[in-house]
Amino acid sequence: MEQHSEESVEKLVKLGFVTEAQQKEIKEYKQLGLFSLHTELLFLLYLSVLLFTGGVGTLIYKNIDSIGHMAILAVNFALMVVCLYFSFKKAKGFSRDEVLFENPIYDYVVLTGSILGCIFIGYLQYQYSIFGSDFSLVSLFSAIFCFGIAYYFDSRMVLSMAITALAAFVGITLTPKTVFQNEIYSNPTLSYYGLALGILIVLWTVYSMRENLKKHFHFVYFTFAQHLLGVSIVAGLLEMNWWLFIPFLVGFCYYFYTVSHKLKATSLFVFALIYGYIGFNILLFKCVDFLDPFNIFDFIIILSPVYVIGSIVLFIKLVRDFNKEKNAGLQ
Amino acid sequence: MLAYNKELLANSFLVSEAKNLYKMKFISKSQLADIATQLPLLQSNRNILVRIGFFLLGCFLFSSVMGSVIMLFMPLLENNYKVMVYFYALIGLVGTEFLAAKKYHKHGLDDAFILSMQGAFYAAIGISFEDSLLVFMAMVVLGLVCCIRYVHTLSALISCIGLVGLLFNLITEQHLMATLFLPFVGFLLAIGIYFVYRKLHLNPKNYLYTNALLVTKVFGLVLGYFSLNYMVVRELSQSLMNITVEEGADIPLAFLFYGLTFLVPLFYIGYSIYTKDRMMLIVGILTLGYSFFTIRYYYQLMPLEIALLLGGIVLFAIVFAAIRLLKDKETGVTFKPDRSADTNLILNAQALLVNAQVDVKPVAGQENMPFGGGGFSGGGAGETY
Repeated sequence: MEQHSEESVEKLVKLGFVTEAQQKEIKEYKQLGLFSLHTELLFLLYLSVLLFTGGVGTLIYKNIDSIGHMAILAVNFALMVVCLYFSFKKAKGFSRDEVLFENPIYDYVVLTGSILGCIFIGYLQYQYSIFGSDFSLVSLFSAIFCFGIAYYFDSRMVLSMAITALAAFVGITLTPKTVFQNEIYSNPTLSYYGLALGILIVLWTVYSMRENLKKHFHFVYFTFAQHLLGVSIVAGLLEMNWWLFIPFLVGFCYYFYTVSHKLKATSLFVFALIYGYIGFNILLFKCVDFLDPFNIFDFIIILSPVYVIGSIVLFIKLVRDFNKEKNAGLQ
Repeated sequence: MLAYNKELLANSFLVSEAKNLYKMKFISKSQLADIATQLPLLQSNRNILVRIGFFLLGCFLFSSVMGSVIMLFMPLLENNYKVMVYFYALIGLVGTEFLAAKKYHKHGLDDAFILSMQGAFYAAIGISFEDSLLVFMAMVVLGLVCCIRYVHTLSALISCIGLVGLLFNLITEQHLMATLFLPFVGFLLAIGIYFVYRKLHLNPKNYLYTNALLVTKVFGLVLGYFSLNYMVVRELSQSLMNITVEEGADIPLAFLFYGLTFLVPLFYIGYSIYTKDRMMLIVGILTLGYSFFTIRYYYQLMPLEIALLLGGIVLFAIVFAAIRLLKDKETGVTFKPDRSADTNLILNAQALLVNAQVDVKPVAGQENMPFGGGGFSGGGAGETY
């Protein structure tokens, strides 16, 4: 509704919020009739990289034990070198702050190079067992490789691959799909590893923010740490030694609540509340379970709307506080 | 008819326009803050995550109310469970009206109650009449009413789905006409929906319903594509007309559907760039991806990995050429980032999404993955393009 957008601006001018000079500027800009395909084209580029590397990965593993596989592997290695060579040539070098390529295509060249590198490392281990019989070392090596590239070329995509590889090193599959299906690991003791890794990531992020080392990576780090910790704690609460995780739950909620307020990051705020609420309800169910002999189950169902309304009121208040602070930050 | 104060609704549009202007750096932060604080507004959540959170809470509330009602009236309701479902719909209506009176709009809670009310009502009709035709009719009418009264975007979608369901039901169950015409009738309906959208969209009086109209348009475009998509037509004609496709044979008019499966998305893409319509462009790109999937589903011309490789290279070449072409353009269609584009948001989103496709896990467990097939990425991306 183009004409409506103009009317809105007109109204804002009438109400005295927008000056006439600004309105003129807006009109002139609209007359250019710009239609930017920036996001769409970059998204397609991203898709093409994923398709291509997916094809390479499948090709190599399907042709293991056949004659051509050495050739394919050599091509893979050569392509990786070419990608990294071009990236090095165009990169402005390492910096503690954010550095962007002049042409965003190179972000994707870096991504291609890193994925091919990971495929190569994984394959070497698979065929020649260069890291001995311990397969998890491959993940560690991939993680180091990706961290190096991510920090040098300032690539958040490669950074996120590095963190995933690090989680794989301790035995956790950390992808959006597994987080939502609550399948990040199969072994209960991994809750403790998950906690440890999550806390380590948080500590590293806090350290880098203080030292001004790639400060803009913090959102990716915090998001990973939050989900890793959240899922580990929720899983831990359902285990035998559940009471051990109660202090972690409290600390987790408190920490991410304050961090989200500080960074004005809505997603961190929302997930802190969601994990906290899930954890709290698990504990509540444990209490109800404990009181079960008294046969109060019917009574609880009848009272449940009151509980839900109570939590809604609480959440509305929390969100309002958060928004107030966020909007105050606008000024 | 409108459940909310029109002035307040209009203000929320002013604020979102102001937000756009701020993102495009035309107005300053303090100007935006003035607008957002001085105009009286409805209770809304602009952040989608917060809204989804409240939506879930609203659904909890609705179901917990249902649970306690069952507990309280259990003895009375031995044989009257049908009445019960109507009663739930009534609870939904009361909740919806209450929230509207309390000025909750696009908040999440109101979405939960509007949708639960409709769900309960359709379930009630389905249970008492056992006729899907009536349910679809109810969806068309009640969806439209909710969309207009509560300015509720998703209800417009429900109404559209009801319309398609109604048509489908009339042709396949009531035999209004030969099933052979189903794809074309669907396409005509899509064109109809698009023209209704055009007409309503051009009337400035309807600006409160901008989002609902947008959903209607996308629905029309998607319906137009899928009613002529080869896979949909083939599967439907197999199940509805009992046509069995033998080796070397094909469904009637196959060549037409092959052609349209690709022509429709290409038309969307071309027309959207010509008219600068971003939504249509996205629908075009996604449907074109589905077209490739459709063809690969029936004809495996080459193994998956080669298809992925070639697809990746061809796509890269096309995008590279397009970027080259648009790079230095200052007006019209361009590669320059939008003034309102939030680069930080895009970078973060891509970073988090990369893990959904790329798997850096080692192929360690030989027993469950003998040749590591697809251990390193693969399937996930394959379907989208």
